[in-house]
Amino acid sequence: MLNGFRILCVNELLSILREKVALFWIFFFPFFFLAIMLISYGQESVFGRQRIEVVDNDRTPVSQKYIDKVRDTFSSSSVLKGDIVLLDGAGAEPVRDGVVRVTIPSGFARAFADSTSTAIKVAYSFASGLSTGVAARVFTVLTTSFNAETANAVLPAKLEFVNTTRTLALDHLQYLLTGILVMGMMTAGMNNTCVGIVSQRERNTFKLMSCFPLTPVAYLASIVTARMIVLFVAAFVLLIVGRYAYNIALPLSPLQLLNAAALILVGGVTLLCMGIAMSGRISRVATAIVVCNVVYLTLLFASDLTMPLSSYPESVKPFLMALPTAQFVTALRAILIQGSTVVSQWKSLVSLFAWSAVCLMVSRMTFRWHSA
Amino acid sequence: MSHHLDESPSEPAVEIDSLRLSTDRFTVRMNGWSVPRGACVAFVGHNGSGKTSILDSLLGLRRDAEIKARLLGQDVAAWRRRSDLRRRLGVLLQRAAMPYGLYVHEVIALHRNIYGRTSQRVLENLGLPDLRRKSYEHLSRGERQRVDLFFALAHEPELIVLDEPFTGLDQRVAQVTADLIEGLGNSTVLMACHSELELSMADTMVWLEYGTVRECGNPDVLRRRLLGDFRLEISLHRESQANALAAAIGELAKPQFVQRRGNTDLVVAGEEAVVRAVPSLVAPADIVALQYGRTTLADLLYRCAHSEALPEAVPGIAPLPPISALPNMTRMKTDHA
Repeated sequence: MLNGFRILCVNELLSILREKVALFWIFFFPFFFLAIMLISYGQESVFGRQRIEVVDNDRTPVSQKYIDKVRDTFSSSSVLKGDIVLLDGAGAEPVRDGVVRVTIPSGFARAFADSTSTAIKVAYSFASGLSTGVAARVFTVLTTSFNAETANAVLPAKLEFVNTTRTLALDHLQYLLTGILVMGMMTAGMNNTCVGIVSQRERNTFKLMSCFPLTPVAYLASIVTARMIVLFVAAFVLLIVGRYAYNIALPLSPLQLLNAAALILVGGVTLLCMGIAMSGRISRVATAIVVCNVVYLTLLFASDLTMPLSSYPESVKPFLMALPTAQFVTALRAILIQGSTVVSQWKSLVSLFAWSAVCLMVSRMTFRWHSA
Repeated sequence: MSHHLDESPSEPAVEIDSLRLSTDRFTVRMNGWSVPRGACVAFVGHNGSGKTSILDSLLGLRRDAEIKARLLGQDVAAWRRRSDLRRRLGVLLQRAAMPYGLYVHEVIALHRNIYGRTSQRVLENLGLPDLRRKSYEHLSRGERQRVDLFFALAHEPELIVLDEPFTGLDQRVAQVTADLIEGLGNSTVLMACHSELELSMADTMVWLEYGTVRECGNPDVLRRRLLGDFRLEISLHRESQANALAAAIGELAKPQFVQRRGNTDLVVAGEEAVVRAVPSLVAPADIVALQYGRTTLADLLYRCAHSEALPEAVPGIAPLPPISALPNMTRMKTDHA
């Protein structure tokens, strides 16, 4: 009885260890997800560390007291830590994405002395990540508290929020809709193509088809074309549902849809090429699923689809921005939300074409119709 | 099988100048071998003897094969490049499925579309109209084999390559399929086979053992030469009696073939006098059943399926004597059909 149980246990353990998909979810994904979360939200607090630049144009004990209040607030918070940097107002550069800049006006101390009003400017990009928005809003509470401590019931210091986004700001829903559209296209274009091709290889369908009077390229082209059609339909349905069912502010003019369709065609081709390249030598569906999951999750979290790039360290942003899905979604947002034309997004288009070319080259070198 | 060997044009249907393919256990080799047009050739041998490897190599499906061969006068490599040539080919592969998600009527439409013609006779004889509304994925093994056979035969190709065509088929459908293939009199058929019915269609049999052609010739001729014309199946009460009889036969009677089937049964094949002498080697009271008859192609397949080098791999089968020890047997390299 015990011996049988032992053998069954050992066999079950072996079967788990031989199952690549299970190993992926058990031993890879948690560490991957933890790494992403740590990168995004830091290790010390829920929202990680936020750079806060302070420009003191008043340079009085009262303004210094306000700065000390800012320091205290962001050093004692368990939700959001702040790196406070003092800037010289005259030589300060424009506010970068992901940074909150607080400008204390000259006459700040006098306003407190005279019980008159003064406005502290809080500038940040409204399109930045969640932590930047939270940090900016902390100033509301912080300033109210400062007013109460310094001027009793009088509220001389008020806040003026300034959006530093140079283009039309995305709201959160627009950001999510466009990100999820590309995410859906990754599933249909990249993952489904890769797993589909490997499945046909595993079932020896390609081997059989290669004996029919069909060219292999025609068969592969049919796979790609069919998926391209599915991509288009899925993207169109998502946009319509997002616009009219979820009431997401999406100015869908025919011209914008036409531009978006052109971009979706290019982006879809890139994703399909990636799927074909990934499937090149894989002979088992289980392996293909693992490869697809790794690529899919990396792109999902690291290419501005669901988590803003502003959440990532400055040093890795250029690399993440070069990812095909980051280029795709950036151009898509520019066209769908900000009304750009597809031609004006030529940098993203060039990048997508380059990714497609690289993937096709990899496919050419590695692709096998069957395992034998 | 009544394939029209006398009508074949001067050019053979299949010519193998040389074929070499290394597997992890042995090397498959065939040299200077050809098949006339209209012939039906059956490759037989134990599992893993190289039958499928040879067929796959001829179809250009093995990258690791070193092959110089022509099919219907065209180099093997040309068949990979030219889809027009592949219109003349019908193929049934092992463990190869149609594209995922199709219904049978869509498979039929696919065939009609890519070959331009679909034989109604093949369609109906294989019973595909009854399967039209079924999903290919949900077919039973036999039903799926019928669909795959339809795809290989329905355009009545000049060259047909079938890897175990009757696997999973019931006796009735197997017979119908055999009739269909025999009806394609001008087609040349190459097949890997394991059943008596499959072998009965062949006018040439190639016995492979670990990748090497051990015998090649007409199945009936080989049956008589390898087994003799007569067989005796004897059933005894106990295993020890069967063991003793097997030992006695080996020493005294010198039959051409002795086969253990189960613990207490033996099949002895050879000349009539030898076979008739076997019962005298055992006490009549030990005999449960005794059956004389002519050797069959099933006996021949049984013989060819049991390699002498790996007897322990087949439980319940007594080790065979080395082939050189068998009477009236000489090793043949290649006997052109």
